[in-house]
Amino acid sequence: MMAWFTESAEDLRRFRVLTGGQAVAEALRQIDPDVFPVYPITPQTPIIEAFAQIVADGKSHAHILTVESEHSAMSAAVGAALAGARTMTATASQGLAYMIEIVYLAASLRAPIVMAVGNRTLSGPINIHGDHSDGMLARDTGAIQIYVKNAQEAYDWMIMGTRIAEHPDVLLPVLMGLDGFTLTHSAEPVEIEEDGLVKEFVGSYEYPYALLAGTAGTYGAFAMPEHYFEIKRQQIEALDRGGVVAQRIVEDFAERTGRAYDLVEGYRMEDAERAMVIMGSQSGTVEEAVDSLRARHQKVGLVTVRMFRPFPRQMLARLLAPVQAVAVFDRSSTPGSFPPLYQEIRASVNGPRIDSIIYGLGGRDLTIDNVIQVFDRLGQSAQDSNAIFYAGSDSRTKEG
Amino acid sequence: MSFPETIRPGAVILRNDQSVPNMSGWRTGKKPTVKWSQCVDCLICWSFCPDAAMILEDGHFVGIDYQACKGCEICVTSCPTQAVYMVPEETPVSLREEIGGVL
Repeated sequence: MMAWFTESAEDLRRFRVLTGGQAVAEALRQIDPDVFPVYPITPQTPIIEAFAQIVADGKSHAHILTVESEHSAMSAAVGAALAGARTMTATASQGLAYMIEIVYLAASLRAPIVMAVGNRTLSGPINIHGDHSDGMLARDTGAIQIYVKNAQEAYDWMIMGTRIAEHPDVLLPVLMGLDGFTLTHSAEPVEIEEDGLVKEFVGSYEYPYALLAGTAGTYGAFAMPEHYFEIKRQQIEALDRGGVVAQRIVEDFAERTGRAYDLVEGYRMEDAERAMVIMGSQSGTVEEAVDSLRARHQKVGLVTVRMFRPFPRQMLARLLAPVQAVAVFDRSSTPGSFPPLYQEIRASVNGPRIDSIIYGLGGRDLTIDNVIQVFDRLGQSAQDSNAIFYAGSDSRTKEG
Repeated sequence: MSFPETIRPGAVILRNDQSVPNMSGWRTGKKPTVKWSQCVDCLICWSFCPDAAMILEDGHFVGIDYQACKGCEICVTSCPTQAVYMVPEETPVSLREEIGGVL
């Protein structure tokens, strides 16, 4: 919810009308990374376009490394981060898919690379529009995953993400997802902090064994069965610590900027009997639907998941346990089983009936009517449907 | 020294780091030991051990390398004099006096 129309004229000067892509680039200007290896892909391109302009104008000292593919972009990023350079990148869809082999390496080598992902579906059919299929493909890479709701959050989470990634208890890549087009290309007022505040907040980059800092060692050594398991376990436990670290960092950010974020956000959940769970930009649509149903005295609420990895299981359990029925909205699919967010909620929450809804694949709109239809359906039966409901999809085009 | 505690984040290896491989991770609570009064130094256990955990010194059997031993009990089965037997993992095992320091 934007508070800009209640601010004083002085405060309003801090707002600029920016697309999500430009907001990410603005955060990059202020963080001023050392190295930015990147390959363009829709809908990430506005980020690198805006940031390349900033660098060309001399407003950031970042070295933009133009490489021949996303696989090379992430490979260069791993090398740069371990060498001792603050390193960031951006990608989407097929680009992230191509990058993923090296995202696994970035996580296991504990390279704290922050990447903005303009979430777009995966081919095929080839399609450039928004859904979370690309992020979900990176689900098990070991990267921290954040999904934001609007351009303001994209700006804020680039800044917070940098602190989270580089925290000595974490040292892992952060993947910050902003929905393709809905956020990357749509302009809205974004409150921009002072450069000095951002620089102080993120601090300097301190990788503990930097190749160029006189402590050079062996990186990416082969690990036999007697070592691999422990190394992997360290990495898994570091990702879990990421949740605790992120909680402290959002609190620090709130103190300094006044913008307070929850890793999982409840909306009108106080006495809710039915609730929706969603990630990303369409959270606003569900908020509208909740408001209109609340106006008709229906006890409904919304839970928006911002942090998907590590998954905030206990927060979700606390928020959803008192509810009678939950519908989990996934903007990706797991063919042959239930989609990812649904599986997570199922594994975290005991008690309520939980339905699985797939929506918005390949950029399909989720309308307020779609959401109200799901709420109505959720009120009808006390039994789990045990089937996936497709919101906003035309079943008349079924095969056969 | 237990190796897992010395793994640096990202498994970076710095100049003076030492790796002590622990290959015994899948022993399930028991380890072999030797009743030396019954051992005839025939080396049958040594020739059967699939993980080369039987330590020889000057061609004589002197003890078991618990970092390598997986607890498969082939030594126990192959010993013709029942000199090798299994004990609970926690049991302290004293090796032959003449090799004292090894393991």
